[in-house]
Amino acid sequence: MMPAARVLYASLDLLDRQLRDRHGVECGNVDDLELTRHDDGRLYVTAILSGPGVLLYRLGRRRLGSWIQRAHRRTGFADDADHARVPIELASTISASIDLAIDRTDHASFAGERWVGDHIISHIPGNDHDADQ
Amino acid sequence: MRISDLLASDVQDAGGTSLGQVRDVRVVQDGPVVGGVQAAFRVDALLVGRGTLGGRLGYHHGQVQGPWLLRMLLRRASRTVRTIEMTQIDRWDDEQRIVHLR
Amino acid sequence: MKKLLGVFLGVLSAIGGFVDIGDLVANAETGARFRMNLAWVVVVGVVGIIVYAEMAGRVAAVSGRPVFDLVRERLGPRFGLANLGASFFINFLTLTAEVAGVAIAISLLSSINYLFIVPAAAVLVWLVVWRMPFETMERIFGLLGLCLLVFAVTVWKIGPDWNQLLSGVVHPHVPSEENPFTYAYYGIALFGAAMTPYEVFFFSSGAVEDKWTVKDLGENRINVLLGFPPGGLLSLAIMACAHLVLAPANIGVGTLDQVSLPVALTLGKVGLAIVLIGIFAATFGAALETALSAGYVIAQYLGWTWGKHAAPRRATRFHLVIIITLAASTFFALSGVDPVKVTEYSIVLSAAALPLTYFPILVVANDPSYMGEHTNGRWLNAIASVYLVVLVAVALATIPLMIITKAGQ
Repeated sequence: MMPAARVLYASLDLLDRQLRDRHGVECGNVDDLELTRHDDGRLYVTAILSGPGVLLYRLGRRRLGSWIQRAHRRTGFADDADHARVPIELASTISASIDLAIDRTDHASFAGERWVGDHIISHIPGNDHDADQ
Repeated sequence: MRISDLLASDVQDAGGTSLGQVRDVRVVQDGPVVGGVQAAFRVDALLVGRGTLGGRLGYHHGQVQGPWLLRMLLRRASRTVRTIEMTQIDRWDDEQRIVHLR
Repeated sequence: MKKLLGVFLGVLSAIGGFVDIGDLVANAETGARFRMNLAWVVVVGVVGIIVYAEMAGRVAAVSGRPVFDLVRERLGPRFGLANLGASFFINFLTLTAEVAGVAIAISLLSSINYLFIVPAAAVLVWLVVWRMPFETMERIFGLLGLCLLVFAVTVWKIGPDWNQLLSGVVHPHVPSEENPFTYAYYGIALFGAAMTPYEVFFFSSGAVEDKWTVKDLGENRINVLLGFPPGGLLSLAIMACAHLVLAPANIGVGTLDQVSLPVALTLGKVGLAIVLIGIFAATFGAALETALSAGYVIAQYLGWTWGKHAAPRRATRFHLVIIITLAASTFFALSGVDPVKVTEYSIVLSAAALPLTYFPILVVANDPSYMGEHTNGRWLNAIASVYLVVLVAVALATIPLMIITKAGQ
């Protein structure tokens, strides 16, 4: 007998949840979800969208949000892939937070983190040691 | 297409009368397995009606039961929200953001 | 045995860390103007913070989510953003007040002008956040904060008429020379000083970072139930000192040294030195927590990596926010604002903003999909609901009262 299929509500259970990477480190929130219509005519949730500009789009600033997303794609990472998009198959646990089978360094939200790290934080002494040692 | 477009969509019946906005989307994980080990997440139904604080917090279709005070204050409004199965939908105009029912 | 010692030290530093500049100013001012007639508010506030902190700690332990994470998720990004704006601003005011408090304590001990010390105090706070072993520092400042017990010693040394002292506590009334609006306004200030939001942000974030689990809930409850009430009694001792020494002499509290005046008059130079060390420790500890909270609320809303244990390199934007906020507080303090006034505004606005963060926590604490079997019990829910009503009433009354009383004149 098949176990009952999982039922979720997008707004209640998925949107604005904390995302964690494969090491359990925070890497953004679920800002939006990608929908795709498959050959059977039905709509499926196919990816988690998270990163600069995505939330703005959802809050109604669609042009500005899309522009920021495009600009970020060109400047944030070396390759051409959309780092703000995580295929839903990579979501391993969906509970109080959503665990993703990716490294946070591959995710769109890391570009800002890396920039601040390279340009500001790394110039202050003592930035590499854990406190409480 | 994004779910935020769906959540911002107005729902109209065959006669063009607005039934409200899409407030939440029910998703069921029973689709064909694609690229991995998990079943796909199929969009199953829309919750349509007036937006309410109780719905957002989880007092309507979520699992929050208490405290009594908040449940009393927030649950009454859930009667204004109705569930529309995807089979009742004729088409979704994602440019105009209108969901047309059969 | 070692575990017991750890718990004991934890409780002691919770007591010493309970009082911050808001409590010092609020209790002293109230004691000087209203005698002991607002003592009941401290009791209500302490019970409130116990309920709030226990819920937030339990939510953090069971769901692994800290307060501001949940604020965005439950209230949605729009309301969550408004909430974030208000909370961050009030936190900023509080941070300025605490850093100023550190600087004033040092200046009273050393006789160097306070304005010169403010930047040094801010840098010191930052250094601890940046590099120093946090747990050890928190313990040290918490235990040093116990020096504030000298307020209780002062009350005992004065040897008051206990009947007279307790009558104001048990039968509160508005003194004839004051009006009910000012009484209510000071009540709100006291309430906000006891139920500080940054305390809960800090507490819940720490619980998540330390990966508390259900097994840690017991220790959480012990710290809260055994640590906060004595902290409340300490607040009342500050109020009693003002009531016994300042009120009869018609001395108001406009500066921090007037807060410590009763101790100085009763216990002399030694007492004064001890109380100033206590004030330094209490405000420094609070400054640490408030500085980190500035980072927590923004990082948690936006989903950034955060944490006080990890190397700054691993949470760069979080640390940048803290640096910028501390710098801004320093400039604000140096701009010549009256630190006592800033403190007053920060506690009153804290009281008004309490529902913003308390409400989502209360809802999540009742959500089985997060809490499993650890949702609120019926009695806790009853008390927590009463407090929600109180907090909303306080929030609605604050701005009108602020206008009517011209901020407590």
